[in-house]
Amino acid sequence: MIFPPPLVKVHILGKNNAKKEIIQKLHTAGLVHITPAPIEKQLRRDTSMPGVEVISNALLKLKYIATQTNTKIDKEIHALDEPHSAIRDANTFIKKYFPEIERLTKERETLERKRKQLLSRIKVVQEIPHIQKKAQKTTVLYVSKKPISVSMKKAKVETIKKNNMYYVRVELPPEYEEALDNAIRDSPLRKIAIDYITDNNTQTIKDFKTEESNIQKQIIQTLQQQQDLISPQRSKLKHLITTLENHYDIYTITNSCSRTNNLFLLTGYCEEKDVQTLAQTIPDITITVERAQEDAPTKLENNAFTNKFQPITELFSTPKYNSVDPTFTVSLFFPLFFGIMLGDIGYALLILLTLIPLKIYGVARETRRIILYSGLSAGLFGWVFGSFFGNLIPIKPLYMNSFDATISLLIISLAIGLIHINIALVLQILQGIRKKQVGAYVRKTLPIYTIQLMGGAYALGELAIGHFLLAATIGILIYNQGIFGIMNITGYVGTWFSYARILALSLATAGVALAVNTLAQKAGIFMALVLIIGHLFNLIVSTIGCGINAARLHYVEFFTLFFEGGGEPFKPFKRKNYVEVKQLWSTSPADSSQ
Amino acid sequence: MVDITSGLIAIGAGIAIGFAGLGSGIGQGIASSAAAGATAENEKLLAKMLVFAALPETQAIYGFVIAIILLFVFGA
Repeated sequence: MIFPPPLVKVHILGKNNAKKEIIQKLHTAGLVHITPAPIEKQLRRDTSMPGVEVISNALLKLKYIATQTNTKIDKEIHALDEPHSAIRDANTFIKKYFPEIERLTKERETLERKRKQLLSRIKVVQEIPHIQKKAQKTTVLYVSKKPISVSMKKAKVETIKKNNMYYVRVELPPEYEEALDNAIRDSPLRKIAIDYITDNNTQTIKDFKTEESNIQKQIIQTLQQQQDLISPQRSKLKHLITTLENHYDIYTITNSCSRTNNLFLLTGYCEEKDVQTLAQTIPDITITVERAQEDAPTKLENNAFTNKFQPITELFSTPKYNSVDPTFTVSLFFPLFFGIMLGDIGYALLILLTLIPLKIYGVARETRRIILYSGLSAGLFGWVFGSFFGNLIPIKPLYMNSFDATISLLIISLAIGLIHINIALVLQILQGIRKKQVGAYVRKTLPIYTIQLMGGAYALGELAIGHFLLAATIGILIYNQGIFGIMNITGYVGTWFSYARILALSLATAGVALAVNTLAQKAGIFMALVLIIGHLFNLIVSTIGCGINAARLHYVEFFTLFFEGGGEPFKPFKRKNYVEVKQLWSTSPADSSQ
Repeated sequence: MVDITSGLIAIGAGIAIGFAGLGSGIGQGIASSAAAGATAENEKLLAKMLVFAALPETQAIYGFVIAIILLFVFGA
């Protein structure tokens, strides 16, 4: 859809004694994006529902267990138990597993601290091998990142530089140690404890390494014990966390409500068609509807193909409410630009192959789809230009080799640019119609139309018409933006010329591939190696370059002509992680049972 | 043997893309370092910073277009 669906602002008024049921039903319906309700006259800000601290406390402990046992809360279908039953289950779980998990974690942390200390001691002894315990003398060791000079009458001082650190070894009678500590208090020197130093450093290092290895084994053991403890209960843990997270949302959403002694008011946004559904699902409420203003959230609605490109739009910004959502055009032009720029069947196949590991490693479906469509487009244009790892595998081009068609490709690139820019102008006008400000929006886009016509007139040799259109463009720009508006003429031409980068990237990809093949021919027995490294290098560099430039053509050239960003994404108050309701909300107060 | 016209066209194309690329590279370096700093503080700014970093690139494209026209139109 070019425009996101229109929303209405809803004010939901209900009785305080039915608040839990109403909010639970709103949560189940998942239709309303909730915003802070107004506070005026006798209305005051509501607080979280009683009992939230019990949920919060349980959730905190369960998440601690999940973190320590590396349990990821993935999207699964969970049944949403009623709160007091969920809290009871959670408390039983916590009572059974939390103390042991906490004990093992603390044990592991102590072991890790000990190991770290040992490693640092090993480092010191290895780096300063001649530090040894001496009878009747105290050896003190300091470290500094900066070079520093220390001199003391009663002491023997030695500075050793190792790995960009300066170690200062001071050998002095024990009674002077405190005086030295006081003297260097404000210097960059840091004292290192070396009470572990013996007269046999080789043996010390050996002992430390054995101890460190034992500690490492103990750390692994504690980790394993935690895993063994939770593994059979992992599914239960995930379920409890998901359930309590949903209840936490329900209990805390009231922070956005306002209330009187008897009533509460909840404000939000939803689609107009959903108001009826809300009224039918929750009969105990009074809903008042008003027209959504410019500050309303934006609900992006795109079909199964185009919505995969939504992240590209959202990476720039969410469109403002009632403004154009350009995802539809992005879904067409992004793969097109990428395809022409990369244009190689071999590279396209390799890109498509990367989808397998990306799926295994759980990369988002949207990202994989963008890669899939862009890869297919690159393959198609590879066929058009007859490029299969450059000229490595000769195939008959559908059109012609990009080196032979440089000028044609430049013209095609600029023509695509012209189409792209004009689509932006059409979207701008549509935006004006939608906002009932056609005049203002036409005035904004008019200079770009006159510049195009001027270019056409000059190209056809109609100089008089060209001069007239130039004067008209200057006049409109001065009227719109003042005298400095004239500078926009070069800006508009620059925007159009920027589409020449489609040709530039296409030639760069083909050029590097050709260079790799030429090098490989002269590499003798290393031919295969040169081909593999060279083409992999070109694939990585060109894919990144083509992706960034395809995005840039949208963000800089296309969006700047019409896009109104800064919108707030529509986030309905709904269940997390595919929670489905197993039991209905209990009317008995959850908190009172705790 | 390359005739003097072709040689001069090649030199002209080289100067056009070379200086345009140099200027664009310097500009992009300045913009990108600032953009990297801003993105490090707020990663939501990535797309906008990409735009700022990419802005000086257009000047290199001007040089590229001039070079292509010199080589393939005048040099043909």
